[in-house]
Amino acid sequence: MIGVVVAAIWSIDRVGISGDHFNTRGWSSLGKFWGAAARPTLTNEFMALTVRAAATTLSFAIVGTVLSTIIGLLYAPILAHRFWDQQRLSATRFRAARTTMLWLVRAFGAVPRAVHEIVWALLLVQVFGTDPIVAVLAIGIPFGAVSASVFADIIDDASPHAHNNLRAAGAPRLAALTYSIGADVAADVTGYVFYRFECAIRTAAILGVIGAGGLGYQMQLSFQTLRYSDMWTLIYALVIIAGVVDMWSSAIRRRQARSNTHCGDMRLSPPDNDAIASREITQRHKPSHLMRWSFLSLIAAVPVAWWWIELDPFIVLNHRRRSLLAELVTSMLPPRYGPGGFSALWNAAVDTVAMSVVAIGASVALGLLVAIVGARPVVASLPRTRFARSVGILQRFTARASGLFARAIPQHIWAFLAALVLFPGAWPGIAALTAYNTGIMARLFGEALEDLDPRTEELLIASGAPRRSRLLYATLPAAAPRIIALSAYRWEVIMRETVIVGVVGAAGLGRLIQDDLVARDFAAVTSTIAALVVMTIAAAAISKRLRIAMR
Amino acid sequence: MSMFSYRFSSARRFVAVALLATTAVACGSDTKEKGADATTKADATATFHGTLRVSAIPDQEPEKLVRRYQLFAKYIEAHVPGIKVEYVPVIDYPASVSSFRTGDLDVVWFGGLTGVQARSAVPGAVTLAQRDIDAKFTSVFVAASDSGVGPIADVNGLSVIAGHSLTFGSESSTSGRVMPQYFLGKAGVDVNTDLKGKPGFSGSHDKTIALVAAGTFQVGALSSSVWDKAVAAGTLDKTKIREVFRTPTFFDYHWLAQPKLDTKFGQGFTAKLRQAILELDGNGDGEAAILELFGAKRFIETKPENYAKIEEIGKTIGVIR
Repeated sequence: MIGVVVAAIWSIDRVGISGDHFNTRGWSSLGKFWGAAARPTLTNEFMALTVRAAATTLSFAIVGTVLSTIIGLLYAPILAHRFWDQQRLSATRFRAARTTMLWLVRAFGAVPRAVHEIVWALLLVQVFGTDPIVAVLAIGIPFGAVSASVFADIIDDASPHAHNNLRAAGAPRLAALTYSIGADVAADVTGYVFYRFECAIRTAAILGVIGAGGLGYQMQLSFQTLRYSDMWTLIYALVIIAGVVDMWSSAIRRRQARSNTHCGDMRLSPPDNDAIASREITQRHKPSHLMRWSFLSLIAAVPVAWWWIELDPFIVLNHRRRSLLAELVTSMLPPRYGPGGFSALWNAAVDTVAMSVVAIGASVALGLLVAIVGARPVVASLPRTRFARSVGILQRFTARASGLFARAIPQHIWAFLAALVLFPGAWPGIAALTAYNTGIMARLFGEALEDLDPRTEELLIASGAPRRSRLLYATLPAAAPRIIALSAYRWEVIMRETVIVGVVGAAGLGRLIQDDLVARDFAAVTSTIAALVVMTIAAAAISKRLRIAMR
Repeated sequence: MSMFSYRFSSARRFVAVALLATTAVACGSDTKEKGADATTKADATATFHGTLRVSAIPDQEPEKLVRRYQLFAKYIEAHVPGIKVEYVPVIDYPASVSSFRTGDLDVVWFGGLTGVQARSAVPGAVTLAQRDIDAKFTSVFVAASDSGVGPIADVNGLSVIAGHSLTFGSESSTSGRVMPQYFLGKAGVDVNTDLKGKPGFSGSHDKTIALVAAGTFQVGALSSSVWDKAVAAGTLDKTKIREVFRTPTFFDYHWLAQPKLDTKFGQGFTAKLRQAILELDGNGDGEAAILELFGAKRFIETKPENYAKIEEIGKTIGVIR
């Protein structure tokens, strides 16, 4: 707790608070942007463009998710502890070799996971230009690594008896895993695939930064020419998609274990006891109709998506592309510091940490506010006047809509907006991360609040406690462990996300990568990516400890 | 490329190429049947084949560029027989260099700095031509009327910009970043420490004008060519933004071609393309409109050595390493 407070104070001090960061002259531009919300461009031509862009974004997400699932399913079995079981070969020398192998296999999975999709994309364009394969791989590779580790956990969590019996009967490792556990984990795996799909849509929109087509790209074009009305048409399209996907995935997860994170490499097993309990109850359920139906639609959509983005997977085998890849790797190795040397890298890394801490603090506070206002009353049958009820409904609607908007607008677009009123540096990045993550936190906290046991609330209402006391002394304390666990987890995700706002001009390691890429200094890019990987993994470890401490 | 324009996307392009190939074969056999005199005529006009992918650094509004390069494409198609031209837009300056590097672009209209980067990324790339104005290119500093920055007499006078907020164009823009930063440095202004806040990077010259006119930044630096056209178009609000300084001259934009275009499109193609560009002088059909969109009277020869100074400056400010 003290550590958290110290970290917060240090971070604020690091990025510095003063009016100097505000570019007061930019308010009129920002005003024009918000003013255009009521006047989106609705010409037939632009609407058609928006629909095509939305189809492209969705197609990237679909094909990327499928690729990540394939990678995950192929890699998960050897990542699972079960594969490395100690039963057969227990001689010490084998054990040492096996432990080494296990760590190698894990490291091989951890690095692609720690590198943000946008960094993958920035590297892949150096090989494939702006071919659609860039978006598909940029989603598929890191998501594949994440899925593999999650699937491995699912495998390890599955009932061991059948597997042990098969192994005892002399079945080879892979066969034993496939036959005993494959059937058992199918529902969990499908649930997770949808969760990944939801994340993939957000990523596909961000990939507009590197020129991959779709809504994010069109938004960036509109922003380049400051066409705010065009931007709003695209934003509304993203809001609709995000809204539908939110509802859909909530519905699936409600029938499935509730995974209470958002677009990170979170294990399905949630960080707190409540959710673990809820998972244990639900996890062995058969896939629901909704899920089966959804899964079939996703499969059916693959060829359509493939056709729409005109994906040619064989480009990866192309001789010229392979030599470009080899040359890229050669130019990236050995890593070397950029012009500022180690101190520039260190400073950028420290900025990144400070940005992530301030951003998580602000998003937790704002997200909680939005969640409290937007949460459905736990007890539905409160006797209230019609007026009070309508006010309540209006309040909830406003809160929920602002949360949805906040998370529908991709981080890089938030960063462009923030850059209108904040001078380049850490603050526009923090503002962008905060805006987006407020939307995410509002949703997660909202779910946490709505999941609370309604009986406490009923009792308090019966005893005549006013709403504020109920909130302060019952609701929030009850939800606190989960809220803190979610915040710790989200901090780790934000650390990873700082790279997006850096790429569009804010401070930190993302900014450094952008400078390195402008100068085509790939050896320096490698050192910056290495720093990012170390920090992401460290953040994950810290966040895990925080979550364990909260139990 | 198909991400940008579905008109020429890969699968459909494949069909188109297949069709072209069939017609080419059909035409080929036609000529043979018609006899020898037709063949000699064809030799005289040296027919090439294939689709030339032309691009440009996105230094202005995308729509403006589309207009410019659609007309340019038509001109090249008319003057280099057998060649189809496709304009491929790119998202930012670094992407134009990396797509040239990956071979996805055949001919690119680069700026001074991006041209240097592209030649170092693609050894043997051929500098084809520059505009008349590019040999004596300048940047302008523009200021918001209420910024307190008035007309500046010489390079040393740029020191008054210290303490003001400033936006450049793209990070790799020659006239929108590299040269202005160089001249500011000569006046003793370190853009990383002496401005109000850090410098912004708007991404393009047009957006620099828009941001200064809207008051978001007090000062902006951009291509004088883009500025002059905006002034001539009369769309600027002169009560809000004005020019305060024009820099000394430097070499800037030029056409750069991949080294092996002759093997791809036919022997003598690169020379023919250069000739076609140099002959674009405003006398032929529709040529005046193209030159106007380029802001030039004609294209002239250029050579790699012209950009040595920019390379040197680029190294000092860290955009070339």
